[in-house]
Amino acid sequence: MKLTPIWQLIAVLAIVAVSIFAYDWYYRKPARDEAARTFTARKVTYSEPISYESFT
Amino acid sequence: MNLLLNIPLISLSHADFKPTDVDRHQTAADALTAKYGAFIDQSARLNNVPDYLLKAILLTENEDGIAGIVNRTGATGLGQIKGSSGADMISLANRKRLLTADKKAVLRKQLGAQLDLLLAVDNTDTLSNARWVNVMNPALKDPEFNVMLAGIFLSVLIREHTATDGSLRTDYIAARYNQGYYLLSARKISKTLSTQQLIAAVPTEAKRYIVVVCGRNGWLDILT
Repeated sequence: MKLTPIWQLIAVLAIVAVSIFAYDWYYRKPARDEAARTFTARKVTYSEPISYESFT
Repeated sequence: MNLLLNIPLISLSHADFKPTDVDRHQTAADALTAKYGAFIDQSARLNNVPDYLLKAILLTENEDGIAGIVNRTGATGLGQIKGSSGADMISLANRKRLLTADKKAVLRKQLGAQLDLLLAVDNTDTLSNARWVNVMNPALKDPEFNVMLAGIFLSVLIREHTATDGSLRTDYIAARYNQGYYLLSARKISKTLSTQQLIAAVPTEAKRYIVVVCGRNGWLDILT
């Protein structure tokens, strides 16, 4: 099957667009993961008495 | 992903963090927030790190909150960051694809066009040269820049010390902030030690640091 020039152009543009999207998705993933994380602080109660250390 | 921080992480306490010291430390924390709260909030938001963890590190480094202070080793500002470490951290965060446009904008206020030159450095060993230290040192005295860089460092460490069950190892984060990013590789320390094992494996300064940040009546205990 031979594509007409206009369809060839559309195919090339589609490949370029998908590549740009994939690169952007990959490149920004760490920053997206960073932005998506949440934090919960859980207070812990220890039964044993406090021991102290000064590390001098 | 939701990350869980156990606070305090250990039952041990530092001798300067007795129950009778809590009010004094709370006063220091309040003073830090009153003076630099806007910069702390900005760094916590852009790096998505807990503000209480960022404050705990800043208070451990510089409880008096003096932005222009330089210690005998050259560590500067609220987060006590050395010029070479700061330059390396910016480069590392960029290579890890964590240096978003918003963070760069804050860094650029102090570094200007030098930021782009720094990010283009291929041989990161050269970031400890006087050329970059001389660029970084004045910038590190700026509280907004310094707190942003501290947040960037914490974000990198949080990524590396989240267990598969979602628990966050603040002991490792505290030790590596104190001793530098390369602590584990330099001393061949695994990422899976217990807190007591980690305390035994790190230098004395880092032992103190872990307990002050993560122990009973420590900064995280006070701030949460």
